[in-house]
Amino acid sequence: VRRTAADRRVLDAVKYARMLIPDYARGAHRVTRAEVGELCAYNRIRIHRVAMRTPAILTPPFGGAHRLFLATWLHTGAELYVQLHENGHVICGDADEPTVLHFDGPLPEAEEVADLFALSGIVTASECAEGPAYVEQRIRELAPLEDRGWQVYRVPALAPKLIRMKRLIDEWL
Amino acid sequence: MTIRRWQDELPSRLTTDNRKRLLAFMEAIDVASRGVVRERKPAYDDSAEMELLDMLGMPEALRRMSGHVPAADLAAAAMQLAVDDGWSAERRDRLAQLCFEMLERAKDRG
Repeated sequence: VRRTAADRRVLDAVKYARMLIPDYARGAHRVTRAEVGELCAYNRIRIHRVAMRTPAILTPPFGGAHRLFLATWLHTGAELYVQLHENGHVICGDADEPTVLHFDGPLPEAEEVADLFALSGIVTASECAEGPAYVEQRIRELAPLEDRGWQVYRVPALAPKLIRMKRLIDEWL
Repeated sequence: MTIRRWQDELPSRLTTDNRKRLLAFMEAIDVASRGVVRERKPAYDDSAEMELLDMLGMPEALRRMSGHVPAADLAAAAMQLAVDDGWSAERRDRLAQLCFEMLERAKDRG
């Protein structure tokens, strides 16, 4: 399978994660809460739980760590997904400088890379083998974000891309 | 010119006035790269936000969020940070006051 620049970024991020979690995005392994916690510590992401409307805010590093503010109302699965997604941004260097993302037109590549990095650790190989419709259903169950953009646009687009990415991971890593 | 280059050239600590001048210039530049539009919109007196962000030691980072993240969320995040990082009571009081000012202004703006 021919790799794009975005594919390489996801592969590099998975490779990086495997230094800490050897089975990350491998076979039947689904990343655990404890592993995500280790990844956050390794990437120097300090988590603050805040009663706020915005689901999550990630900042560039200050005071020795990136700060990830998470809304207290986030569902446990959604929180795990958000933490992994933000780890993806940190690994890829997207959070080294202040950036406000606007979903103006196509999804920014950095967002898709972070999504695929996070989902590859959550959705297993056997689930991907069931096809895009099943993968879409599993993403909704495992990363239950309420955001309409996520539900309506991103999840359906991500399902086939995730299946392809899992193939690439098996092939290249 | 990219924001990163800007940051490299800026001293890490600036007076509020100098920061505002620089910010005004930066606002005139609409930087778009990788499909990500970086911009900052507030056209109001945001001196409380400025001081708050200075206190947090991350002026540039949260400042750019201040026009996009609701003021109440920004205040809540700052207050939680102060608790989690174990700020002194005096520093927390000043932060709380700044958050209050920021929220009052946000309310005035509707």
